[in-house]
Amino acid sequence: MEVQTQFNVNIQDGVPVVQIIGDLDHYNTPRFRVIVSELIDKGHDRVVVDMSAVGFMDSGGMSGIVLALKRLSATRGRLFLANCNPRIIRKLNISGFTTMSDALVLHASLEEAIRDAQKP
Amino acid sequence: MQSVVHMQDQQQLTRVVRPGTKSAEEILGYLQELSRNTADANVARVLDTAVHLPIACLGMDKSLLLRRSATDGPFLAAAARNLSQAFLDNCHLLCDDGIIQEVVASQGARVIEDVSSLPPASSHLCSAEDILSLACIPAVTQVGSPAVLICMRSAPTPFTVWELEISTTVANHVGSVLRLKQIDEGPSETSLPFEGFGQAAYSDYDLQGLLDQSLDEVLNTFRADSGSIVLHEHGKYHLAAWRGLGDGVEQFHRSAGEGTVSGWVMASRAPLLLHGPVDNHEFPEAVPRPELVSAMSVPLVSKRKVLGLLNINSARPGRFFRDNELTLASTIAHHIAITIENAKLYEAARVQTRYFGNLYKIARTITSTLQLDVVLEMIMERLGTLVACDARGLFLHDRDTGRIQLANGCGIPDGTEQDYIDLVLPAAKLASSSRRPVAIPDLTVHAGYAHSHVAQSSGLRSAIVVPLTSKRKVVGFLAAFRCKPRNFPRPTVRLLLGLAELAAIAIENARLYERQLGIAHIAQKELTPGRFETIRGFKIGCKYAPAHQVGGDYYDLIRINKQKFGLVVADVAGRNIAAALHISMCKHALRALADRISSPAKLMQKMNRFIYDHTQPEAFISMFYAVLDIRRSTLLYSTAGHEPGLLLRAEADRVEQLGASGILLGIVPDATFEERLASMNMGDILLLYTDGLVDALFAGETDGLAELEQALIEYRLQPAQEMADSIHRLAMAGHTRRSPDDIAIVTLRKA
Repeated sequence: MEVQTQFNVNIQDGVPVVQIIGDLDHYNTPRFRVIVSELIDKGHDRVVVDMSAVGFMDSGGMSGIVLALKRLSATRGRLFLANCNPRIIRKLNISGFTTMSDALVLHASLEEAIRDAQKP
Repeated sequence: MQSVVHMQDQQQLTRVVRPGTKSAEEILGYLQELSRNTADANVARVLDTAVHLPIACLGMDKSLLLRRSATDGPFLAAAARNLSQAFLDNCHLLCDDGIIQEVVASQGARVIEDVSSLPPASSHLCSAEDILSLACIPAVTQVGSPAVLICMRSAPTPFTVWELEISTTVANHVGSVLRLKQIDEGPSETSLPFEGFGQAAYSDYDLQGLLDQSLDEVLNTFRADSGSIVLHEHGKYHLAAWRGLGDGVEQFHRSAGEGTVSGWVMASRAPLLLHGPVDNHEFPEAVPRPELVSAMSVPLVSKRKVLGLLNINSARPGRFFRDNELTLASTIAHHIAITIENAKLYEAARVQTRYFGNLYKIARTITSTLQLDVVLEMIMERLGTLVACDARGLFLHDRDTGRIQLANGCGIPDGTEQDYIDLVLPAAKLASSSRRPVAIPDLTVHAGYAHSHVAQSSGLRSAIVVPLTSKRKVVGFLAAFRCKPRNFPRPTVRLLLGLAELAAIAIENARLYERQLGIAHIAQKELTPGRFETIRGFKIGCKYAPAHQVGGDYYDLIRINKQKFGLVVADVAGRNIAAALHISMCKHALRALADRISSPAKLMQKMNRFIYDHTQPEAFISMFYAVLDIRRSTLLYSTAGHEPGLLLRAEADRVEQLGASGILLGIVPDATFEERLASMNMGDILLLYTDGLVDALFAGETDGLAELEQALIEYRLQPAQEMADSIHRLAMAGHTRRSPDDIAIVTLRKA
C-alpha cells in the first residue's frame, strides 16, 4: 500500500519544475493538484512538469493536468510538459489540448521546456 | 509528554494572520529600520517610523505620537498618520482630559474600545475624525515617559495582545532614542558610540549574538575590563554573556542569589554603583572580587518586568564609574532589555508560524481528497515526514467488532500485521485512556515490551503511539517505530498531535463520504441502463463497469424520431457524488437538446457551454456523440476529447477509427467541434468505449488501442451484447493496475 509515485519540486533558473516519478493516476493526482496549486498560489504562472519518469496517465491524471491548465489560463500562465511518452502525448492530443489550447506546451526535453518557460 | 492547548494556539494564529497584520518577517523589517534610525540617533526618522508601523503592519487606520516638549512640559503632536490638521491642533484636549497623564502615570497601555466613553471634549474630537477606538501606549524609560504612541481604528475591531505588544515595543524604541539623545546632549565624560551600539543591538534577532555584541559595545563604551549579562528565566539565573570574568564564571552560580549584588539589583530594580570591595555586611553572600576598582550593576527592565541585569566592572586603578555613567548604563540596559524582548517575541512568532505552516501543509494534503484509501496513504506519508522512523502504521478500530486493525502500514512486512497490533496494544490502551501520545524511548527496558518477540525479532527499540480522536471518541492510532532508542522532542510530539487531530477528522469525513457514495451508487444505476431498446436493422449491446461505487462513465441511447437515434458515450471527470450529479445533469441536458439539434457539432457546442457555465472549474467531460440514421445507415458524429470510435468493416476485417477534432467539454467557453459522416454496411460493427478500456488493455510497450482493434476482429461473429461482455472480460483478465478506471462499452452491429 506504499505510495509509489514521487513528486519532487525544485526551482531551476527561476522556473518551478515538478518531477513526477511513477504513474499519474487517480490515486496520485490529488497530490499533484496540491503541489501545482501551491506553486500557482506562490505567484508562479509558468510551471514545468518533467514527465520523463511517468509511464502511465489515466483520466484521473488528466484531471490534474486540466485543473493546472484552468488555473494557469486564468492568469495567462502556461503549463510546460517535458518528455511525455507517446501514450501520454496521444491522450493529450485526443483531449484537444495540444491543438486547441495555448496554455499547454509540450517539449521533447526538460532543458528546452525550462528555456521556453523563461521567455518573457 | 505534553498536550497541546488548541484553543490558545488558534487564538495566536488569529493574531498572526489577521487581515491587515503583516507577517513576523515584515514586522521585523520595520523594527530593523526603527533600530537603524535609533542607531543613527535620527529622532525625526524614529518618530516617523513609529507612527508608520502601526498603519503598515498592524492594520491601524490612524496613528499619533505625542512628545513631551521638556521635562514635565506639555505633550505635543510630534508625528502622525492619516489625521487632519484640525485634530492635531486640538490633540491637547486628550491631555486636558487626563487620558495621556493616566497612561504616563501608570506606565501601562490603555485601550479605549469606544471613544464615546471618553470625556466630551476628547470624545467629540475623536468622533469628528471618524475614530471608533484607540490604544494609548506610553514610551517607558527609567525617568518617565517622554512620549506616548496612540493607535486608532475607524472600524469596530478589537485590539489584540499581539498588536499591543508590537506597539509597546515601538513606543519603547521611541523612549530609548529620546532618552539617549537627552543624555548625549547633556554633560558626560563618556562618549557614546551610538552607531556602534545601535548596530550591535539590532543587527539581527539571534538572541545570543545580540547579547554578545551588546556586551562588547557596552564594555567599549565604558572602557571597562569585564562585564556580564545575566538573565533571569523560569526562576533561575542564567549567565547569558560574559567578558573577562576569569574564575568569575565558575563562581557565578554562587553570586547571583539572595544576599549578593545581583540579587539586590534584581529585587530592588534599581541600578547600583560600587567603588572598592563589596561591603560584606550589606551583601553577605557576595563573592569577594578584590581586584575590582569600580562596578555598575543595572537591571534589564522591559514592560515593567525584570529580565536580568547588566554588570560592568573596572579593575584599572583610578577608573571609577560616575553617577552620570550609571544613568547612561541604565538607559543602555533598557535598550538591551527591549532588544531581548524583541528577539524573544520574534522567535516565538517564528516558531508559531512554522508550526502552523506545517499544520497547514498537513491539512491541505490530507483534505485534498475524500477517498478513504488515498486519505490513509497521505496520512502515513505525512507521518513519515514528521518523525524519522523505520516502520509506521495507522491502526483503526473496526466499527463492528471494536478490534484494532492495521489500516495502512509502511515498513511492516506482510504477515506481521497482527504482531504489530500486539506491539501497539499496551501503549494504545494507555493513549486511549489518557487521550495523549505515549512515547516509549527504549522498548527493551519498558516492562510492557521487554519480552515482546516482535520488538526483539524486528530490532525495534523505540515507539510513539498517538491517539486519533474524533467527536471525543478514540477511533484509532498512529504509531511510529524506530530501530534505535530515541526521545521524541516536544515540537515533534506537538506536530504529531496536530497531524492526529486532522487525520481523525479526514478519516471520519472519508468514511461519511463512502456512505454517501453508496446512496449515489443506487441513483447512478438508475441512470445507466443495463440493456438498450431495440433498433430496427441493428443489434446493440452495452457493458458498464464502474471501478468504484460511483463511476464517471455513462452511455445512452436517445430516440430522436422514428428514423434517428442519438448514441452517446461519455466520461465525466471524477468518481464521486459530484461526478454522479454531472452525469445526471449531462444526460438530461443531452436528451433535451438531441430532440431540437440535429447536428452533433452544434449539440456539442451547446453542451460545452452548458457544462462550462454550470459546473465547478475542475469539471470536464469527454464525449462521443453520434446520430444514427437507420434508414440511410449512416453515423453523423462529433467527439469532445474522447477516444475515437472503432468501425469494423465486415467485408475486409479492417478497423477504421472514427475521430474528429474537439476539446474536452467544459474547458473553454467557446469551443467548436468537427462533424463527420460514416456509413455502415451489413455486418459492420461500431465500438464506442471510454479510455478505461484502452488503459486496461495497455500492457508495457503497447498502447492498448491495437489490442482493442484485434479483440474487435476476434469477437466479430459474436452477438452485440456478448461481444461487449467478451471485450470487458478480456480487459479485466490482464488488468493489474492498482487504480482501475471505469469502463463503458457500446457495440452496434448493422444486421
